[in-house]
Amino acid sequence: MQQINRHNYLYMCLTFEDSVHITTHDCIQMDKSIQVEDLKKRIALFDDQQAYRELFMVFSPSLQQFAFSILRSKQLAEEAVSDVFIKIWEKRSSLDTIDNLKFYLFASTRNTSLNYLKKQEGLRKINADDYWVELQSIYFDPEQLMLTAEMISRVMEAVNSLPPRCKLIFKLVKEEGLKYREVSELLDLSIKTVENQMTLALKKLGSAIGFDIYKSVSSTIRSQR
Amino acid sequence: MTAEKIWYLLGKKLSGDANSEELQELEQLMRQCPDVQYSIQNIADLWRLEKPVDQPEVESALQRHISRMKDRGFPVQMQGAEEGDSTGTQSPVRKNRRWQLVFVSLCGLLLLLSATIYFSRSHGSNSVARQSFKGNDLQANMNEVSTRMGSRSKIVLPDKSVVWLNAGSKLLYEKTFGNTIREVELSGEGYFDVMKDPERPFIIHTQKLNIKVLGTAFNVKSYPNDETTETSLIRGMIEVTMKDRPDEKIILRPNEKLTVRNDEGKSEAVSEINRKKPLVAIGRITYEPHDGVIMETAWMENQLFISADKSFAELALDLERKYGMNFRFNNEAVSQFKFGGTGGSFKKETIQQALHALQLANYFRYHINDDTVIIDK
Repeated sequence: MQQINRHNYLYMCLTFEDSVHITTHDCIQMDKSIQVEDLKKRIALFDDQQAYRELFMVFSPSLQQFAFSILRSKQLAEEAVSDVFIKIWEKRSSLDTIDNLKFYLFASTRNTSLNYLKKQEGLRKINADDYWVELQSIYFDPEQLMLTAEMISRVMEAVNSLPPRCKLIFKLVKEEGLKYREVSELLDLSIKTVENQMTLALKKLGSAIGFDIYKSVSSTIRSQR
Repeated sequence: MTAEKIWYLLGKKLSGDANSEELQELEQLMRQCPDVQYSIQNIADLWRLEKPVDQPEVESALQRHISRMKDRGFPVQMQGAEEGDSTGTQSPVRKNRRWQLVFVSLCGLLLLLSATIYFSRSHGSNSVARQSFKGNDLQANMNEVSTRMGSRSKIVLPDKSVVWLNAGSKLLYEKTFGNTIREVELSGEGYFDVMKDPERPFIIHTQKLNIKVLGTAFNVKSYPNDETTETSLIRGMIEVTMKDRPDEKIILRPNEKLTVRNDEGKSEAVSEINRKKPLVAIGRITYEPHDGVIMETAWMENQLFISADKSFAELALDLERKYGMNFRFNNEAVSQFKFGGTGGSFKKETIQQALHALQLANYFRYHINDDTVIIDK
């Protein structure tokens, strides 16, 4: 591999003995938006193919999952995302004018996917309830979280039992780092709905974790009122 | 509905949608019902878990995407392209747009130029960047600024970029600096505040690294007799390549520090320990816990931090620069002393006061002979 992608690079660094104390998460998450800005500039100004490849690597997993939740076919989802990125390359010289590239990619993926559906099934509109969602990041490492096995299974259960639309919103906010406004535009919902669904999701999670504690809290609150 | 409100506010906080009033309100509500804090803490931890990425799968998806593009007539390369190659990438669709062609060919010319420079550099085996500067009459074309031990200096380059040079350092640049490309050569330590100019990238050559900059502020520590080369980014973004691995670009982001081991390190005593350290590592910039001073750039205020993991021999190199003294160790064991993570630093202290403070942490004997500090057991 000629140019190491950052993720691998960090991994490489971390595998060295007594390496520096950083968590990959901090490094990657914190500066992701700066990285995307940088890639965008390199593609727009220099036709930088390496940057283009990196951009693909950064977003294609998320976008494919998003496309999958609409198309429910892995192959179609991959094609849809590939189409989105072909368009990005075609219009690379004007890429600089896009303020929020991440949201743009998600919106294009949604449009492309819906077009695929239209061609296939003659479907016009897809309701947010019809998205098929699988949460990827609810993998628990007991070492990382101070939770017991019993509690972990309770949390998993809580997350999996969320209504589809709620789960989708939760996923987009938590795993893709989208803002409420972005989610509401992407799914054609009101901000109020997004807020309510997130509140619901967190409440369920919180009560799964807090369990008896939470019960007692809510009863004291009730008695206070 | 206090509980409901907490989850509502927590959601806004986690997504980054909350404003400062809402954050305050959340704090307040949490104080009112401390029992929820446990749940919230765990959710916050959970929130930080990243979704796992199947790297080989992403890479093969990329390959499939690239070959799909090729099928549609886009000349995109499979493997990481050399910089000079990207001239051949404009899609046929855009050929009729003349201004773009002009731009692309200009870019190509620039890339060709940089490729030539790069090529000529990679051929000089042990060379420092000096070889990349054209011409035989090196002296006549170059400006050189150097600092003695114990002194520091500030330089404003023709493009208004500012360089602070630490003691015992040297900065070289062409008299024509900035006409086409901005290149400097650094030996020692410098803090760079580079003026933004995407047209003319700013490149710093050190013994071990090439650093490409768009517009940013950062610190480079590359003394020939140090064990490592350190690059600490304060703001902006820089791209670093190691001279012996020119194909691997490392992008540094704010608050990150890149440490590269110098294999040619001279002081034998240090290198044994150093060999165990990683060849290349990305870490974080260290802030002094009390007043938040960035340790990597504290030298600009003439302040020297005693870091916990540095041996006395390594620390002595820093002390030599700060005080303009030489250090000699008569005892191997003492040269490996460490002075713990006390977070101590020297600023206005005299050399005697500094040595005395070190003695308190880990006792040794010393005497000063002219400008040499001799350390005994």
